Amino acid sequence: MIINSSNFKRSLNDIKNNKFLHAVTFITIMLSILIVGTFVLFASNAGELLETWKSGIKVIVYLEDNIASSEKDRTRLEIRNFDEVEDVLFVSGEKGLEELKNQMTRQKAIFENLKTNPLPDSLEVFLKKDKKDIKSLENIASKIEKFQSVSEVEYGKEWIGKFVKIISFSRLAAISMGAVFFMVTVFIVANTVRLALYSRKEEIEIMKLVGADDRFIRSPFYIQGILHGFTGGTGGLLVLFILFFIFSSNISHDFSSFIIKIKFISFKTLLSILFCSTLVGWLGCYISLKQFLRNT
Amino acid sequence: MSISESQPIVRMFNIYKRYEQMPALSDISIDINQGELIFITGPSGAGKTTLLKLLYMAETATAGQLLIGGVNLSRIKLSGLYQLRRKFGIIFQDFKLIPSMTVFENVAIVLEASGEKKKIIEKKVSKVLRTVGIEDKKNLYPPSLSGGEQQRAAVARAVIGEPDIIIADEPTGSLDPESAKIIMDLLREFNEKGTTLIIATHSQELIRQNRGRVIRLKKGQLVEDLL
Repeated sequence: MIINSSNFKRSLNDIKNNKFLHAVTFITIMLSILIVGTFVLFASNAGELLETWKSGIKVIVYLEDNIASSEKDRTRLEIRNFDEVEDVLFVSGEKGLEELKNQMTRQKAIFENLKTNPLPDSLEVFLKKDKKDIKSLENIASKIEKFQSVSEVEYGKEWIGKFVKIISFSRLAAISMGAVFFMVTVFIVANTVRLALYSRKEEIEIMKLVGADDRFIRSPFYIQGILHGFTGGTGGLLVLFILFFIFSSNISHDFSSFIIKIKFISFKTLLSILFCSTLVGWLGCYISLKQFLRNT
Repeated sequence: MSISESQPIVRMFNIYKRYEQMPALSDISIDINQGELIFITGPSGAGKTTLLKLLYMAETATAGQLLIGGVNLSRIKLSGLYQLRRKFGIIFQDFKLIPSMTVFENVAIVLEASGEKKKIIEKKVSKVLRTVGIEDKKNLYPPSLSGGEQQRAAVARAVIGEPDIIIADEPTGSLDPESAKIIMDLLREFNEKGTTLIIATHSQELIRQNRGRVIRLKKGQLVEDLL
């Protein structure tokens, strides 16, 4: 491909002369990037949410009533010695009730009628950073459940499972949608270029007769393809940012104390998307031109 | 791929060309030397344009061998054709100017395609447009030009690359006598400098006015080759 002012001018002239055709290509790429970008945005935020949640992950171990404090200490130490465990905190029933009261200030009346403390003593088990996945959680929970001194182990198994599934699905959806839209857009760009080529068939034949090689003929089309991909991608991401801005302004207003702050796609990912959309434009041209010039 | 002066620049051996079952050229054998002025003449449908198309490789022969500058065209890859075409300057019967490009751009494209620098292109194109007398029309688009002006632009495009061979298909066919003389004088000027000039025409007056070799075709067959 030869990028010079003459080829650039030829590309722009062609865009000016075939506005509708080029507008269709631009809008197709823009919409594809908008859809793929939305999935990427959702997946990246879900990933962020998972990371935030992982940082606070813990297993609550409820101890049997009426066991000696030496037994409680022994249980705590044995759990502390597990490879997956970072730290273990003992929370007495009294402390647990106190914390619960602090968290449920509006439902104070419930606690006033209590004659005895219903909460047992418990252990809060914090896992190591790399052991905060569902498998490790299940593993350690089953090991702790075998202790005689333990009455119940809680780590929100169902909720965690569903959450991990949703995140995996959203990631898979983003990748699949990206792949599908990549192919669809390449196909549409290729067809647009093919139409442009057929509308300029005579011109291309003349160029060949006066000594132009394929590289010279291809260059303006490649420039067009790259321009389509880049501007379409930029347009799609810009619309996504505007929609994100409107949406996130409303959501942060409604959920100001929400667990995470929704973030836009990272700069690195933005560049990757833009690179992919530019590649789409180039690839669409490449496919059409290869076929067309072989038959001309 | 340089063209040797010691051997004919164009050699045709028993060339046949058929379109489906219709013969367009039959058993044509011609040698053309560097610097010759050749008129290919004959009535409509004689095969004049087909012969030219074989020369500039817009068509391929059904049978026979065609050598240009010692290169056998049947052995040239499609991707390498442009190198040989750059040795030609072609003036088409219907001009074949690109309507979306200005006169300047139409002429400049030959040099741009061969990778010439912008400044040199501007200089050369202005000079050649001045020579053919349409420098003042350089920013106009072909549809806004008269037939004579379009023909001059086509001539300018054909000569700008300083080709070894100029091929002209009815170069004066659509021109008034005065414009026809200007175009022919211009082409002869290049011929006198050593460029081979091959003109297809059915104008006997044009042949009479210019001394050259006359190849006469009839129904696709060579009937006369006069020096």
